[in-house]
Amino acid sequence: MENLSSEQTQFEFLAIPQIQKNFAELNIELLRGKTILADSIGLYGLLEEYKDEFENYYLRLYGLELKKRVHDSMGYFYLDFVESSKGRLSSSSNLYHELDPRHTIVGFIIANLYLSTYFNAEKKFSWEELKYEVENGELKDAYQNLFFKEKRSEYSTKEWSEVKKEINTVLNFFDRMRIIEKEETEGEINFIILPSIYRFIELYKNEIENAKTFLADKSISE
Amino acid sequence: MSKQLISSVEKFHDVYTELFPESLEAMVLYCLYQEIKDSTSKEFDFSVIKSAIHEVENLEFIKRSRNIQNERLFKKLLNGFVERVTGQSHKFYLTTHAERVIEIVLQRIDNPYLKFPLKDTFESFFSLPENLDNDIDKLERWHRLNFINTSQQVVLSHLEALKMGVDYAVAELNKVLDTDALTAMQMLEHFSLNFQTLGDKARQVGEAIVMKDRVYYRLKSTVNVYMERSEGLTNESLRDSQYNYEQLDAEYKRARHIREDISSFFTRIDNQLTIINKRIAFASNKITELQESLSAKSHYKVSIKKILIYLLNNSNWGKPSALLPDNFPAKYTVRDQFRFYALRQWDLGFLKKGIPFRHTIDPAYELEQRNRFERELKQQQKIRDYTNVILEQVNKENRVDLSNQLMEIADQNASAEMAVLSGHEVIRQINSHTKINVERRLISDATNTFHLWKISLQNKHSSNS
Repeated sequence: MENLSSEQTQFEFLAIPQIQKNFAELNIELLRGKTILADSIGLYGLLEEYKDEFENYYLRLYGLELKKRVHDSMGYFYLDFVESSKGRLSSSSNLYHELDPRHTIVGFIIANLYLSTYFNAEKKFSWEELKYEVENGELKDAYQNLFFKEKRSEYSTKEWSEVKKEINTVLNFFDRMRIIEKEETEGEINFIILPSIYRFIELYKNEIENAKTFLADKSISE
Repeated sequence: MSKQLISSVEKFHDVYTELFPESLEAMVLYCLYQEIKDSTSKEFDFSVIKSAIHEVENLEFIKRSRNIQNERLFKKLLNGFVERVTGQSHKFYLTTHAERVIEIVLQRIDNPYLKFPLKDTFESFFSLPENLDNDIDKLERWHRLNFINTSQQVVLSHLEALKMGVDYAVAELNKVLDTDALTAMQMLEHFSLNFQTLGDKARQVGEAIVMKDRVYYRLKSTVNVYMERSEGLTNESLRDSQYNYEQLDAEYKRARHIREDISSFFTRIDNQLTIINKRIAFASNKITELQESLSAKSHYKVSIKKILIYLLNNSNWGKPSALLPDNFPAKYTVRDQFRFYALRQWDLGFLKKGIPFRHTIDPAYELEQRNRFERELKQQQKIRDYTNVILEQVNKENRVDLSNQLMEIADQNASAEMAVLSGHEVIRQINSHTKINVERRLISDATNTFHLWKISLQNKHSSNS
């Protein structure tokens, strides 16, 4: 077998005590789809130091690509599929998780919010602010059309609390992926959008870069 | 709301509406203010008022909205904002109150604090007077008049102005990504300078604050003097019989309170400055970044917004789940759901461990059983042999006297049982071509204990021979 020695050494990093101590946590987090941001000092540091080894590990054994990105001076790592494959575990489609339509919609909402506050040091938002946007913001007609199916001057508390609950569920999803940092106290929802929102934006890179043609196909009116 | 609160809110409302002019009147007052600003006489006659009203009326954004009635407006102005000069019924002047209201607005527009060098202000306000050690009242006066009323206000105003400046600039900056590339570049240039100024201002505030250390330490030592005195550690107290412990202690406490108040003020300032500096730094960095990649970022933002609008207008938010518009691609993420299963250990208590024990072997019984099995096996073997012989005979000779055969078997084995079993077996195995004839004639065995009807087997397709 050729390259036997390099085959042997490429996984040797797993014997390093520091890696052994943190590997379980790191591996599970990454496979769960979480983003490891620069502020998780320990895990991020490990990934930085052994970047090549980890990349190789995930590519060889899982058929997944360990990606590193830096946006807004914050670096982060996450696992993604190699171009068009589904990874090695395609039969157990556990790993291949299709984004829920609601996740997609809210993802775009969050991305838009993030870029609208490009110059703010902290992209911090609350449910109240979202509600305000829906009621009075620039895109209020579109938002109201989506959430309530009709335009009215007011919506009932019950309608609002349903929408709030639904959006909160999606926000929890993005919080688990560490794309936002959410905190909820006594019904008050606050969240900070992290630079890892670019993960979502990258998913739709082609569509965004070719927005004109993409949208023209769908013959929409603006 | 409690009844008390309701009535005090009503009262508040009444006074408030008197104190502050409505926007129309305010604009007229502002025009008047500008008129008299540069002239020596602060008086004006009715015609000036009239023309001010006229000017405001003719403003574009006013014209469309309402009808203005001069008389009413004038009456409102007279209600606390404009007054007649005593003795001269045709001359008017702006009240101090009106001037104050206008100046509040003007300060917002053009904050003077942003222009004054902060450090000088600080130096003059924050210097402690002499001889505070012995005069607690003087210290308190300084604290109240100089510190709280003046210096604190000045610094807080500076900070407030600075913070608002930064926030406003950031909000304006966020619009940059919405404009076309060329305008955006210009805007960025402008903002770049703007933030530099803001940064300088922040630095000034920071430098001025450094002075606080001097003040703070001086205060600290002053307070220490009071403390030591109250604890009888200095000669003064022993010398001067006027002082008693309680008084000294009270003075010490007052001094300490002042020191703590100032200390917490400075901490507050530090915190605010840190936040402001952070925001300025971030925005400045972004400006530089953006200048390098403007068109790309702007295009991105605009595209994302377009796609968002499309999604909002064409999706179904739906319950329990939403629907994307047709042909809108769904994307995939890596997301494994790790589940670790652990079976619970139920301790049911009554499950006992089985203790294996050995059977004792009974050799006699074993032998007896073995023999029995052997006999039975042999018997079956015999039956099979008899059956085969008889069946062969049927095939060969086409006719067999079964009952005779069976009698022979009975005789040979001295057992009717063998005969019967063999007979059963034969009957069981014969094929459909064989006919069974039964005659009502008894055949018996040798011992005359076993009787059978005469049975013969005959192959059907053969002719009777």
